[in-house]
Amino acid sequence: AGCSTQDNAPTEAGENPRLTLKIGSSQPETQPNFYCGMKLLKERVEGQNLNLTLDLFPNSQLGPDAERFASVQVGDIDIDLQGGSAMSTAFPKIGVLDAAYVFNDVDHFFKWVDQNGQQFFTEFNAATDTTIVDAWYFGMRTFTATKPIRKPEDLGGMKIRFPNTPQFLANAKALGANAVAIAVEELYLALQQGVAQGQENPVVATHAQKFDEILKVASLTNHQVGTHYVVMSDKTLDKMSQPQKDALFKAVRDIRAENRKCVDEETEKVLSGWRGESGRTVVEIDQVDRQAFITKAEAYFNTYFKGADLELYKSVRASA
Amino acid sequence: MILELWMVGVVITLLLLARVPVGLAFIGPSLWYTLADGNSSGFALKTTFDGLNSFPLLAVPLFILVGVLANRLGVADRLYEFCLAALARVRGNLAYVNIGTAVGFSWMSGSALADVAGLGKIEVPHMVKAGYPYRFAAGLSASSALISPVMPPSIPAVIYAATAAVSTGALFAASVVPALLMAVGLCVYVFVWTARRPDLASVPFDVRRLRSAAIGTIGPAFVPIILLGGILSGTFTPTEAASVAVLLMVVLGLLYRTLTLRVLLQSLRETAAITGGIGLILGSAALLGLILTRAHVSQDVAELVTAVSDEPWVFMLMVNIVMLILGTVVDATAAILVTVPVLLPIAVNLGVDPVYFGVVIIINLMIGLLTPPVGSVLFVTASVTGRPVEEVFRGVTPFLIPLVAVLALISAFPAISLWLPGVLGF
Amino acid sequence: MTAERLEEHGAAADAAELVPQPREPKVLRAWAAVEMAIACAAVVAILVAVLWQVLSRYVPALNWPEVGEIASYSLIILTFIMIGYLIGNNGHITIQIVDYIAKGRALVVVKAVSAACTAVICALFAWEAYELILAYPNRRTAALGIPVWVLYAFPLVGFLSGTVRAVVRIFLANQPDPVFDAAETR
Ligand code: NA
Ligand code: NA
Repeated sequence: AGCSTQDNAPTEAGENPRLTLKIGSSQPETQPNFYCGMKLLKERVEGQNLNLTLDLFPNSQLGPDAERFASVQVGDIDIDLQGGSAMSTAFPKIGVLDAAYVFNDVDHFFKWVDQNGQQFFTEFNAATDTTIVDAWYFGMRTFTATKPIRKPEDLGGMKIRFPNTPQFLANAKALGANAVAIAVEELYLALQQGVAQGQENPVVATHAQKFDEILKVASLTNHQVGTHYVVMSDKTLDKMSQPQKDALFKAVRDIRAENRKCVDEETEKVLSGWRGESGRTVVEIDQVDRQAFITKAEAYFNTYFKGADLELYKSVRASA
Repeated sequence: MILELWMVGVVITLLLLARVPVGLAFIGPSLWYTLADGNSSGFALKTTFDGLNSFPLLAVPLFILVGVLANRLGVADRLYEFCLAALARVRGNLAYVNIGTAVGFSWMSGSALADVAGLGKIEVPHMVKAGYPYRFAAGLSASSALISPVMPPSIPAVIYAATAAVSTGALFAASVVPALLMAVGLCVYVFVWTARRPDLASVPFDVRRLRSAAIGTIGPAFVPIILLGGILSGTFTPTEAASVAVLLMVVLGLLYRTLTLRVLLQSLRETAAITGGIGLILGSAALLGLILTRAHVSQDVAELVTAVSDEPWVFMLMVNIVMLILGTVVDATAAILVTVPVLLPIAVNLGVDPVYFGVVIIINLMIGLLTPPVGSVLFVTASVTGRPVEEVFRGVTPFLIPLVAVLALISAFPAISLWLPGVLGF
Repeated sequence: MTAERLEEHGAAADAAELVPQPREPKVLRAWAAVEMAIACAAVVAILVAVLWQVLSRYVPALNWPEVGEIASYSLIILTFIMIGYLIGNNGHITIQIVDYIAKGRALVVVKAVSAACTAVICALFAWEAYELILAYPNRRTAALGIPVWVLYAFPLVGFLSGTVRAVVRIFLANQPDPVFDAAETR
């Protein structure tokens, strides 16, 4: 950022403290959430001469998700891209938004965020001292495995790796999958050797981590809307001027749509590559018995969630 | 904060020179830096704590326990006896036995210290009694102990794989041929040396002795089969294989009737003490590493390196020189954790394979274990044989020639490392 | 020195060092036994938890994903609880270059300075542990739901113990260091 700000609104800009904000993410540089997300944000915010510099740390350089979120809470990381389950260690209720088929699709998710997000994020803020600015799409989570998965029964007899957090493991149960816990560092090898016969991730992430080198069948169950909340430390916000906050928040929200387009394009690119490859199968969305999965998941979560969590779950389902 | 970063480096060096424990010397100045950089109080400890929270690192205590048990339950002795019986007639047989036992033991031990503490204690006096000069015996025992941390299972490989986010299995596979080459290099040196020593006795070959010694190694032979077979066939991940190997050691101990409650407890204590020492370094290096990451030091070093040349071989030559020097003064675990996050992105950018890079770095740092001023293998060899460190180092010096020659070969031809992982489909 | 004699005295028996070794006060030795017991329990926990994970893949009824977390936190607990123990027993990995240069009185001074630096660093990190305990009153671990402040209590205890041990070593600086041998730890 430039040192002199006299060229635009001197009184206002003069109050902008010089700040360097650290932004963390688990996403590698090759992923849409980096090149159509973090990087865009840096360009747009720095371009406004508000004395803000954005320092990008993709690829888990600042540590794993849950640990990074804890750093956001105390202000050691200023901004981070976080999924719901890592943040549920501090605010368990946000895990509900990661429940399988709680949202029908990505439109349903963003509709809910726009209508009910404010109230929910305020509650989240009170519990965590962090502010969710907006959510960026990350891709629909789907299965890639050694065999096709069209209906819940197809999951039986296969060991599927799910991330090792309570909500993801509950998702496994809700869908009827036999979950195995394998650390992400050992997953490639474990898949290669058949320790697990499948895993679930958005298409772009599956491709980026090369799990598709081993697993030849992708089933577009789209059982979970993968999102990254853009979450900020309140400690950082306290240091920022109003114009700085406004500019940053606006940039984050403007990027939402562009980022989603990027993710969709990249997903389609990977999928068409898969479709065209001999020896590889893509079970398309309309070949999946979605209703059977949704019914099964709803039945499970209606007894799994309790109290306020159940209320939230039911209200989200009702808005579908 | 660049000036502050240099100050951290200077203070760490001073603390290390004053004999402050390596882990504490790392985190003390780092704590000051994190506070000066505006981080919360608690950040330094949280980073140290989180640095240890990694599933692949759990293989470290488990592989230590396997090595400790192999020594205490008499497995190392059985391997030694087998090599003795098999190589009875060869001139300079005890020297080859030394290397052969080291190769056998390397399949179940992940660190050089377990090897030299256990086997060196038996072998050096044995060789001296048979007419070998002390320096040759001690130098060979110390040098052959380096095969253990290179051959899988390898604790440095586990740590490198976790740091570089490469597959531990692939790194294990890539290390097999280099480890065997190290053994070949030492054998060549022994062959040349013994050619001038016709006086060195061999003992009569005894089929019955060989047969009973061979039977004695059937059990231990299952350890590498389970460990590597399990990893390569997909039955276990490397961390899991380590736990199964411990279980197998316990079974062997029960079969041989060498496992008592006392031995078991003492093995746990030894494992806890070694793991505690390594663990503090793992956590503290994670803190130092994160500080370097947050200051984008890797980019600065990359600019510096590419300013010299962007040829991969020039880069690898520089890496070899820096790592050899670093290995003489810094603990290997710490060196891996601090340098790999800085150097690996540069290596990958230049098209250097990260698995091959790991093999080269590990061998470089392991050679440092044999050199003063900081050389744990040197110290342990001196300690278990009751002679001064200087004398052991004089003994080690000639063996550095074949070891560095093998290192040069492995650095120059990545295929030596990458051939086996390729064949196994990693 | 014969091989038999060497074996008798264990790996670290060094002819020059067979002098009576300074030992820590009785209270600290008792405390060391507690630290070692916790660390050994952690090793067993790592082993059992990792074995459990292997077994549960073949016996799905045993599937209990929380074991991974038990193993990881055991390694952390082991590391921090052993800090004091290893300082007291001269068991940490150090770089002993100075021993070649400084002899006699100079070495005593270096050892006292080293112990003092160690004490300061440990005390600062005990304070950091205390700050961490205060910073995350509500955070819990992902799988087991253990409050993280419970886990941060281990570094607090470990670094406090390290501080005390290092202060004691300032006063023992004029005596020869105990020779640490992991194989002979008590
Ligand atoms: Na080994
Ligand atoms: Na050295």
